[in-house]
Formats: sequence, C-alpha cells, structure tokens
Amino acid sequence: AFFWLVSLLLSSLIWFIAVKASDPQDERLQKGLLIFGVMFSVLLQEAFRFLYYKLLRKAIEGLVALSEDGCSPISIQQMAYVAGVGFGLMSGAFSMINLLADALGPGTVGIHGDSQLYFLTSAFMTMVLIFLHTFWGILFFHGCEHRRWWEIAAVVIMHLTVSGLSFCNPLYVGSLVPSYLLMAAAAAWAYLLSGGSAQNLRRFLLCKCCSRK
Amino acid sequence: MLPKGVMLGTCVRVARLVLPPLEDRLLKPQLSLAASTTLVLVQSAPLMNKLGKIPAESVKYVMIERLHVSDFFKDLNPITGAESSVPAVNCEPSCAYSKKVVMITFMNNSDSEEEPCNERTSLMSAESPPTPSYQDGLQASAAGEAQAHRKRRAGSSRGPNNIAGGEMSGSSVPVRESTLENEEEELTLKYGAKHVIMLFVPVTLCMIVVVATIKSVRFYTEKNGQLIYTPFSEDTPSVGQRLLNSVLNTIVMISVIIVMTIFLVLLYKYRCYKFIHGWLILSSLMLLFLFTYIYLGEVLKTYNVAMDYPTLFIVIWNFGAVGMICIHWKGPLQLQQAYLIMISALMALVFIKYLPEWSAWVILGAISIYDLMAVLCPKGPLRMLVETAQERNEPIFPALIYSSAMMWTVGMAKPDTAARGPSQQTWDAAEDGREHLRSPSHAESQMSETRSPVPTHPITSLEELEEEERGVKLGLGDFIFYSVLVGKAAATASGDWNTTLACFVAILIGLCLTLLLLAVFKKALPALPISITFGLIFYFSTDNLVRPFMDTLASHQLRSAMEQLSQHFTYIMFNFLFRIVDKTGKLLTEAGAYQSIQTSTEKLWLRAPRSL
Repeated sequence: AFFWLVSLLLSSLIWFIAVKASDPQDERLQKGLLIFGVMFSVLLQEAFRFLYYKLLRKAIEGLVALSEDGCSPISIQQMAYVAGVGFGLMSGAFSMINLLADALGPGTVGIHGDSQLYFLTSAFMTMVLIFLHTFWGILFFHGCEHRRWWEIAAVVIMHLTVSGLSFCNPLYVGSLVPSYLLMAAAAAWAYLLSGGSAQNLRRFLLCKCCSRK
Repeated sequence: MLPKGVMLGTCVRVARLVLPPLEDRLLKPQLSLAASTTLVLVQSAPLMNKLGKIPAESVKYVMIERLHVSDFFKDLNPITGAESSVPAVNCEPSCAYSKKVVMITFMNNSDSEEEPCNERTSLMSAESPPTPSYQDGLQASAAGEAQAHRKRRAGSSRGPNNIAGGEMSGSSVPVRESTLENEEEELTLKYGAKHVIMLFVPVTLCMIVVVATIKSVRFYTEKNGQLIYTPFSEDTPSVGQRLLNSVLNTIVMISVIIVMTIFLVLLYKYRCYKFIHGWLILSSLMLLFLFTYIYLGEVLKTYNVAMDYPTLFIVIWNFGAVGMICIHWKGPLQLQQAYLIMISALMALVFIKYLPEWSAWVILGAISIYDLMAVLCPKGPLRMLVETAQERNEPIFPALIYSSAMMWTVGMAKPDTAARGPSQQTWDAAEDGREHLRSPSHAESQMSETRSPVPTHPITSLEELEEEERGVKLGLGDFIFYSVLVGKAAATASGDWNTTLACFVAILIGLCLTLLLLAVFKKALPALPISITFGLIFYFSTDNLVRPFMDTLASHQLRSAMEQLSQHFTYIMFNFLFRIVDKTGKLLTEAGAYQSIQTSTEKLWLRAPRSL
C-alpha cells in the first residue's frame, strides 16, 4: 500500500508539473495531459510493484538465511498476493473514500445531467480494480520469479488497458465490461499459476473429499 | 568494589567455563556460591536458551531466583523458592525468567562495560526502559521499543524454545556467541512482526478516535484562542509574517519542552520522587476529568443529546476514578491500554484545537528533530536520564508508556502460582502503567513531564518476574503526535479523506521502519522522526499534488462529452482485449499440449530402448 501511494505521489507530481506548465484553457490539451498523467501513473505503479518485488525478494532471502529449517515462513506467492491486495486496497480506498464520504450527505446523483449511475459504476470499477491489482500482483511476481518477461509485459499492458478504458466514461459499458472480462482472464491465469487447476476447482465446488482416492 | 559491569562480565566468563560441573550444585540452591552461580548461570542461560539446546538441568537453573543485580552485589538475597521442581522440559518459564534476568543484567551493565563477554551486553547496553518525560516519552518510545525488542527477543526465544524443549540435549553446550547472535536476530525478525502488529493496533485506534472526533465534532476545528505556549498569532496579513510567527511559536514551544525535560532530569537526579509523583498524579487528574468533561460536553452537543448534570457527574467521576486507578495503580491490562489510548487522543485533540495551523506543522517537524537529537546525542537530556536510571538500577519511567504487554502465563510448577497469578498480572500492569503525563494544560501549568518513580522494590518472588511484560512499549507522546498529525490532516486538508488516509499509511510505515531499525541497531531510537517525516511529506504532497489529480480524474468520469478519440480508443482496446484473451487461451492450451506431448514423447522414449 505504501509503495502504491508513493507511486501515486510521484505520478501526480509529474502530472501537476505538466499541468502547471501548460495552458489551462486548452481543454483538449488538459485531457491529453490527463491521459498522459494516467498512463505515466500506471507505468510508475508497475515500476513500484517491481521495486516492491525486489525488496520482498531480499527480505525472503534474509528470512531464509536466518530461519531454522532453511525455508522462509512466508512464500513468495503469499507475498505476491499480499502485495497485490495492498496495492488494490490502497488504490480502491483512494478511489472510493471521498465518494463514500460525500454519499453520506444529502444530495441526488446526476441532478445536473450527469449520469445517475455514477456511484454504482464507481463502486464496480473500484472493485474490479482491486481484484485486478491482486491478480496482477500474483502474475507480476510470478513473472519476475521465473523470468518470464512476457508475463510482466502482459500485466503492464492490461493495466494500461483498464486505465485507458476508464477514459470511456461516462460510457460506462465501455469501461466496465472489458475490465470485467480482463479481470476474469487475469483471475484464471493467476489461479492456474498458483497451482490450481480445473480439477481442484471442481473438487472444491462440489465439496468432494480430497482424501478419497 | 569493582564496577558492576566488570564483575558481571567476569561472572559470565566464569560461568561459561564452569558451567558443566555446576549442574549438580545448582540443584541445591545455597547462598553465596549458589547465588553467584545462579546469577551467572541465569545470565548465560538465556544464551543457551537461544541455542535451543538447553541441558535439561540448566533449565532449572534459570528458574532459580531472579536476583536483582544490585541486590546481588549488596547482599546476597537468599534464594527463595528455588525451583528445583521445575520440570526440565518446560522451557517457557526459564526463557521468560531468563529474559528478565538478562534484561536486568543488561540494565545494570554500564556503558563502560568493555568486555562484551556475551554479545548481548553490547546489544543492550545502550538500551533503557522507556523514559517518561515529554521527550523522554519520545525516547521512551524508542527505549520502550528497545526494551520491547529485548523483550521481544525474550519473548521470541520462547518460540524456538518451545520447539527446542523437546530436543534438549543432555550435554551442556558451550556458548557459541555467533550462533547466538544469529539466532537472536532471527528471533527478533521472526517475532518482531507480532510486536509491530501489537503497536499498530493502538496507534490505529488512537488515530481513528481522533479523526472521528475531528470529523464529527465541530468544536475541535474551531479556533478559540491559543495556548500560552504559542503566543504568536497567525492572523497576520502577509505570508512572511505568518511564517515568522509560526517559527517563533515553535521556538517557544520547543524551549518549553527542553526546559521541562531538563527540570525533570534534575528532579530525577536529585531523587525528588515525591514531587514527580505528585506532578504526575495532578496532570493525570486534570486530563482524566477536565478534558473528558469538555470532550463529553462537545460530543453531546454535536449529537444533540440531552444529559443532566447528575448523570454527567456520575459518569465522569467513574470514568476518571477508574482511569486513575488503572493508570497509576493496578488494573487489567486491556483497560489500562484503553485508558492510555483515550488520554492520548484527548491530548491530541487539545493540541489540534489550540495549535494554529502553520505552527502545528512546524512544531511537528521541530519535535521530531529534537527527538532525534535528544535521544542520540551523548549530552541529550534523555540520554542522561537513561544513564542515570541505569546507574541506579531502576527501571526507568514506566510512566506514560503504552505497554502492550502480553501476559504469557508461564507454566510455573509452583502450587500457589495460580492464586498469585492475577495479582501479579495487575502488579505488572501497574508497574508499566505508571506514566508520565505530558499534559500541557492550556489553562495553567506546564508540560508535566513527570516520571513516576518506580519504587525499586527488589522483586524476589518468581511470579512477579514471570509476568513481566513481554510486549512492546511505546511512549504516549508518540501516540499524541501521530494523532496530531493525522488529525490536523483530517481537519485542515481540503483533500479530505485521501490526505488523511495517506498520512495514516505513512505513519504506520514509519513506525514499521523504526521498529525495524531498532531490531537492527539494538539501541534506543526515537520513534518520532521517521514517522513524522513520512507523514509530513505525504500530507503536503497529497494535499497539493494528488488531490487535483484525483479530482480531475473523478470529474472526468462524469464528463458527458464523448470524443471521437475515446471511441476509437475503445475500439482499439476491444481488439486488444480479444487478442489478449485469445493469446492467453492459446498459451494455456499450448502449455497443456506441450505437457501432453512431453509425456507422450517420454513414453515413446521409454519404450524405445526395449524395442531396440
């Protein structure tokens, strides 16, 4: 979460500088700058995810070196999951919390002609983003572990995609539906990477007893 | 008489050499020799504990009387209740016990101990139990953390000792110092996480209380005058003037704090314990009654709840009386913790209300710098305090320290342990509940940084030792300043919750880092600087940089203008998306196919030789 926050900070710094240095009247430019800011922010987030991965690797090495039986008490997959959750939670909190605070007060959504589904779609978007961050965390770390650069690239591209899609708003279907599809894909991928399989899933869902051979 | 440190060092060295032959002698605790060997063995026992290969017999040794080092040197206390009946397998009491002894031992090790006969000496020589004064509290937090780390090690060694309990070898183990240190570090790191969480919870709670109050009760965000410690007003026309006034306010505040700390150090040096005690009680009285009354009044006003004076009186009287008892005397640990959190929150709220904005930020920055200097510089008042307390073999200032002591009930074999258990618990809670209230009353007195004099009653019984806190200690001043930062962020930031959240995360991460540094350096460290620095950075940057970014993004979601560009974008994205899904599917099937191909080729290959 902290790392995500730092990345957000840096990216907003860049954006702020860019905005201040540009003409505030030109709307297209502003929007362009915003898009640029978002893309940059995405790239920075992924960069920070990578940095976090490096940090965790060092930590795991330290733990392994110090542990009694030579294996660390927490595996890299767990750390990946936690990192993803942290990123997701922070981004979700930042996205939603102001909305929620405002939602507590009186008022009507969309009374000025804006979409009435704003709160709802924000909520869904945040949810999908949180999930995606979690899955991306797993995928990313797995890619870093096994030196599969295409996995990392896929994560980055997916992130860019989703963020870019959010610019479709208020055509909400344009951003939500693909994001959910992406999330499903990422979920399946992460699940498979974490050692699950269709068989496991079936057993779990049908509550079959695993010991039965 | 030789300096205690040297004597201890010698004892330890002697112990190491003579360890094996003494096993049988220690079974019959006797005065003098037994006492000396006991002490010695106790001191080295933790080392062996750490190794996890404690000879079964030596475990008992650990159980033997905890001797206060000063007692040991003054007059050999008769070893009471030597635990010869302690089951050898039960390692926990020994660990806990040994830790206490180790702690005491190391508390008594002066810094001039030139023989790090066991590595632990060097580790803990600079540590001290937390100090209660205002900045002492800050260092107290550090010292508390240091002590906590000691205790952490103590506590953490329980873990592997539990594991090692079963595999205790019969041979006495020569103390291997490097292994020991490694193990210590490992234990510290391993179990440090638990203690970090133990600190996270109260800090979070305090911040939540403060933020909730700030957000809901208008009173604490209204400007109704200033403390006398910040005499310069900030209602000035020009920015420069305002800045100057805030800097001057800071200077006044910090000098007040310095004066108070030095006053406290002097009081402590000249043993004016009664004065300190009285000061402490007075300030906690004021905090618990007056501030609570004001707080309750404001909350009731906000929610428009009517309450009559008799009820109010009864409620506040009960609250305050129980608080005084819990904090200054005995009480359940959870209740004491709750009270400490509440008074920290109250104090933070007072600060938030009465400190003008710019002054507050400058003061926060200055306090962390001061904390850093006061704890780490050799001539800093906090350090002097620590050393004085060490020389006197007194546990420094249990007052005004939040202690998240985990009462690990040691399974003593003593029959009357159970009966005395609860009393011990409360005793322990009371001991570390003695706090220094730094309560700058905005009405009258000063920062009462008081150190409650811990009566140095030699703890002779075993149970009292076993109940010694194993938790982490953090000074209340740290709570207060963390909460001030987050509360100010909540009160004055236009970015509202984002800024608050960012500051909160920053402070917690700072706390983590501080604890980590503590584990690494094993010295008393100030808790404020890192957290406050992070908090300040995040506050200012989030407020000024992130907020416009997020706001623009959010408002962008609402803009009804749909441009051609974004439509085109969508189309491209859809394409991309399909391609990705396709590719993923192909990859998966390929992977699956590859495996099947692989297995089939393997089968072929296996079959091939036979055919050949």
